[in-house]
Amino acid sequence: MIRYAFKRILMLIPVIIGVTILIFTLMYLVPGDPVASILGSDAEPWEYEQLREAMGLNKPYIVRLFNYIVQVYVHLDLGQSYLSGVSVSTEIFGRLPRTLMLGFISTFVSLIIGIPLGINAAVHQGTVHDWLPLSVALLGVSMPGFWFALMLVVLFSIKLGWLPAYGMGGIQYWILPIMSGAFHGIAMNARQTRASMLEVLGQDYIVMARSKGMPERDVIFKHALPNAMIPLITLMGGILANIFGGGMLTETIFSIPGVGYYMVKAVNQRDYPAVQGSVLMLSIVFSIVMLLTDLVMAAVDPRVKAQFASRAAKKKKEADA
Amino acid sequence: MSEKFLSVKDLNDHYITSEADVWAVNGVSFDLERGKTLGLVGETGAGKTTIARSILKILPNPPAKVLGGSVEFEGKSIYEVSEAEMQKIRGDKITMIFQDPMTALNPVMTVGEQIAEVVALHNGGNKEDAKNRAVEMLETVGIPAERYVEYPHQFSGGMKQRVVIAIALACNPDLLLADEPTTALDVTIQAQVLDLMRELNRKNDTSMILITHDLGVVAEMCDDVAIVYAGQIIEKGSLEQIFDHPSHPYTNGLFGALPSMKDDEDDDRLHPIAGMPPDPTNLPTGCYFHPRCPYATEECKNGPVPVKELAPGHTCMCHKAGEV
Amino acid sequence: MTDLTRRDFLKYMGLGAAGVAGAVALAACGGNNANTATNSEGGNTASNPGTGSSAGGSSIDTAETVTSLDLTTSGEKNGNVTMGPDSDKLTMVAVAAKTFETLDPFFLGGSMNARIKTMLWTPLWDMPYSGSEDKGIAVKEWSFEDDGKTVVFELYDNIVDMEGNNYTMDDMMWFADYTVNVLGKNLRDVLSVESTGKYTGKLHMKQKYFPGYLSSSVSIVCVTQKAYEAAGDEGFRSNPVTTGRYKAIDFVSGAYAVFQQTYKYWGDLEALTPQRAANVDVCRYDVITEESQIATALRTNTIQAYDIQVSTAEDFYADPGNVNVFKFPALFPSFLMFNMYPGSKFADNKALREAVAYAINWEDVAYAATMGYGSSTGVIGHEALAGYNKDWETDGSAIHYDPDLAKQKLEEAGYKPGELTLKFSYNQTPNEFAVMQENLSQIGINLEMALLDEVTYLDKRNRADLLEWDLMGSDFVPKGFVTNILFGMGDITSAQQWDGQICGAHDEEVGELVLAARYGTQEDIDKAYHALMDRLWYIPRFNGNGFIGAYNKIERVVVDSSQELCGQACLFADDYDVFYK
Repeated sequence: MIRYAFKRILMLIPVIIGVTILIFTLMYLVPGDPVASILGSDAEPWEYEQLREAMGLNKPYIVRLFNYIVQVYVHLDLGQSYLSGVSVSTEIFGRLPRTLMLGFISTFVSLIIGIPLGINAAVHQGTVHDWLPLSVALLGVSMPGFWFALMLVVLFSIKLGWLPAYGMGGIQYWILPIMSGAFHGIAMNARQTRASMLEVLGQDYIVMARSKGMPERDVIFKHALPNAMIPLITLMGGILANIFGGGMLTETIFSIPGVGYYMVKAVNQRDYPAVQGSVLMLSIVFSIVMLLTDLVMAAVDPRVKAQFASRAAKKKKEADA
Repeated sequence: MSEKFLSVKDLNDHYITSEADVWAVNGVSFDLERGKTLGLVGETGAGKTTIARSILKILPNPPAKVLGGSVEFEGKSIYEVSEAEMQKIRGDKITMIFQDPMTALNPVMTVGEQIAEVVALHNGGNKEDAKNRAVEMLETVGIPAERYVEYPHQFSGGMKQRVVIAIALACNPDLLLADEPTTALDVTIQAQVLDLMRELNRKNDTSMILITHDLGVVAEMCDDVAIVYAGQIIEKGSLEQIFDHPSHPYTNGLFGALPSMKDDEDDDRLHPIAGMPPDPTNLPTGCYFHPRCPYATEECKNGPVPVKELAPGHTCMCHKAGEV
Repeated sequence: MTDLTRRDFLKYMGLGAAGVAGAVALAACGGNNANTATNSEGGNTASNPGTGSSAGGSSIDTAETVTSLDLTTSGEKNGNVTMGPDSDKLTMVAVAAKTFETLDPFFLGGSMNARIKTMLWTPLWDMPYSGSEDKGIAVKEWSFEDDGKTVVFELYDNIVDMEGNNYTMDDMMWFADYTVNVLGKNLRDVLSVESTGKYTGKLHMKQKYFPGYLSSSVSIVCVTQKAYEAAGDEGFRSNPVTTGRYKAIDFVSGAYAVFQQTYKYWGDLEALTPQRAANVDVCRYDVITEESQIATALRTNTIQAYDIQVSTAEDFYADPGNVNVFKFPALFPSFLMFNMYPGSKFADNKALREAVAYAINWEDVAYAATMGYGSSTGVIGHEALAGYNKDWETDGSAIHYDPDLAKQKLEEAGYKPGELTLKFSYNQTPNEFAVMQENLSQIGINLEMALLDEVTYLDKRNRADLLEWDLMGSDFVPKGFVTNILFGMGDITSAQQWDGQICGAHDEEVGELVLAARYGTQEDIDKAYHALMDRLWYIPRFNGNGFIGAYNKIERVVVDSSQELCGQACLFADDYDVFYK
């Protein structure tokens, strides 16, 4: 198990280097000139050239790629933003906590609301506990996230005046962003939980558990739930992806200075170091989360765990023999 | 008046869905004495599993609905006791063995835990004792005690079924409902498992209802036999009565459909029963078997069919009982 | 997995539809926010800068007024200020650019942040209002040498930063060197800086001086070298040492910045341009990234003023709440540019250009683009710009809608109806495209559009690729003067990336005329104007309006002279009061 984890961690390295090369190449190929963004539109042609030269944009692709990789992985320097001159790592690390908090808290909220809703729906299939939350969930997965966020603002900020419409500060500034971020996740979680619960509840071992004389509550929580959760763990990766991806939208609408919005604005302005640095950071976060998901999966599902245990045991046997 | 061990009277079960009503069990009655084994024989879909699950009151509700009848066990009326009381009975007094061992065990719990669980439920929660009993049961069914900590996927089909048996017998039940326990197993394992069950039942004086479609198994294991067709018991009697004097056309058809080892030139083809089992959402009028019955007459199509007693303990639900 | 029956499906759909309907109803309710508390009559107060007219009919109860701050008050105010209407200080929350990562003067770029730069650090020159004369702010006196290409100036000798460092020519030399040689950027039109004394120097400019040149094309501000180097880059990023009237007291990258008066301004407040002589104690700039959130912020009075788009202005006109809308003329007059490069369809075919010009109903286009708040005069520039001549509108040179004439011209140009397809590249969202397409199809020309994002548009535009576009939208930046537009259209001397260069048309005669117009009389301007209209390299499309939404206690808004919209607290002129309940 430990060896499996270690192997997976090692595999992160080529993935991340691959991402670096990929995003560098993409930004290289995208049309548009950062120099025009920096100098504005009414500078002289020789001034554009001068700046391009100074920024090293005229060097060949391979040289620039190599320099960048050395800069990032040897000197651990993500460079400086073309537009603001601020060190990219300073900006990103300043913003990353907000993005992460937004992402993880939204995920957490979506879990603690979505899963019980799903369980309830499955257990009381066909009743109001089932079709009511599920209809709302259907709305949730079909509705565009930004529209929902703006509707929340209309309701809570303009009409009721309870919550601020944008910005950062105390807890009240986080409520609407997390609500809009979590809504989609709640819907997905509820639906998936309900589906896997129903599938599990139809299994023989559930009937077996009942036939042992187990109270229904224990049947649900001791036998059904652990089995139903396993597909959900796999889904968590996807849900997290959604939330981080959608986080950029939430950040834009609520003017939360996070990595998502930073990245998007940088792409629009062709601020290469900022884009590359942000993508790199986010892909590292992602890879770690996916890795953790896989490890949790391996720990929780004995069928997966046994794969490695038996392999190790076999090796041990061969060694002993 | 001594209380009957198990008495099922006029049981009616339907599965009610938004599309149709499935008439699963239609007026089933039988009794069982302590220590005896009753075989419930019939084709797939005849309603045998539903009868068994009705006794244990574990039918899924929705969509199943018990529309009428009663089940009495050791003087208690199953359909009148509370759920809490029922939970005490299940696993302890009445237990069940499931048909498919591959899906009957929880894949994320060790087998030992699953056995210990049922013990702990009925011994006041003493974990230590439960564990010991579980180990004991494992050995009784022929599984080494070290395998307590292993997971179901690490066992073969036959071993899994032994675990299921261990769970079913762990609390020394009075009544064991075995739902096609060997159907999913191959023949050699089947023999082993049946031997094991017979041994344990004999030792503990356990009654059993054995559901099967295999007449060979019935011959080996049962004291009494009831033939189920379309949710009704169409013939019932002791093992000898049914095997020596089958009287319902369907029963005859069952025996006739068995491949014969006799070296008979005329008889080198199988003789299946003509037609298909009826659609439980749309049962025929009168006798449910009449569309397939070679002896059917006009009266078979109309009205309820009488139950005729051919000999003490041998009943048959047919207009023509005794004549064919 | 349970099967979904048809009944369940219909149930879900019905509920889903009900849910959507409910949400939409909710949103509609939210839009009709009838705020009875503050506003009395709603604000359709239009204000014309440069003429100094005050807002009409605002009913502020004088008993509740807070009089303007005595500007000569000094004394330290500490950094803990409460914001907003309840504060005992005059505070304002306005909106910054879409992002805000540094307060470093070398990196405050873009039109919005440039305003902040000149607020924190004293600029050399400024312009009081559109079309007026350059006014020296850090510069005490100046004159010209070398036929107007060199500016000889003397700085005030008492310019100090927050820490008391005196600003000298050494600082300016360092600033110029750092910008150009270290960072590789430029100082706009300043070619080089020469020091001739402690407070005197010379600027060598790219062009000869013309009115408004100094305040629009010199991007040097007074930053003291000592303070900058002591702070290191990090220091100036969030806590800069300033020479202007404000200092930063709080800054969160990407979120907001808060500025407070230093109360230690070195200079004479009376000598400042109106937009610099603000009377606000503290102003906070919030970053708001989403346009719709700006409207929300205005409505909930989370911010007190910002420039808004015409659609938002419409909303506020319809339902003011506690927001007034101030309207003022044109951002940049909008033009349509023909690709005139040799080999293009339009290069030697004036008849074709005329066909396009007359085929389109420019009034309709103006209406579509500005939601009725703009107009099409068919001439270059508009009356708020210096050098504009109203006679142009009626002397026959103006472009007008005449489809029959257009058909005629198309034939003259040698095309049959239906034969020609034109490509139109733009980077705004042209509602007017539909109008143009429709009009052109009436005379048998097919119009295709390529909508581009900002950077790609700039990129393509600068390359003038014949394959890329036949027609392009063009926004000239007049900076207060019609002559700037004319120069941009026709100049062939400077190698700047004026749109004129991109258009691809070159004509010596025109080049001389626009140059003369810059330094000459109204007659010269008229000549240049007519020459350009005659050449028809550009079609004047429309002049729009700009809008600022402001908390309705604010009576007047002064728009900065460079014709660029700013939503800054410092716009509120010193003799107008800012009222709070």
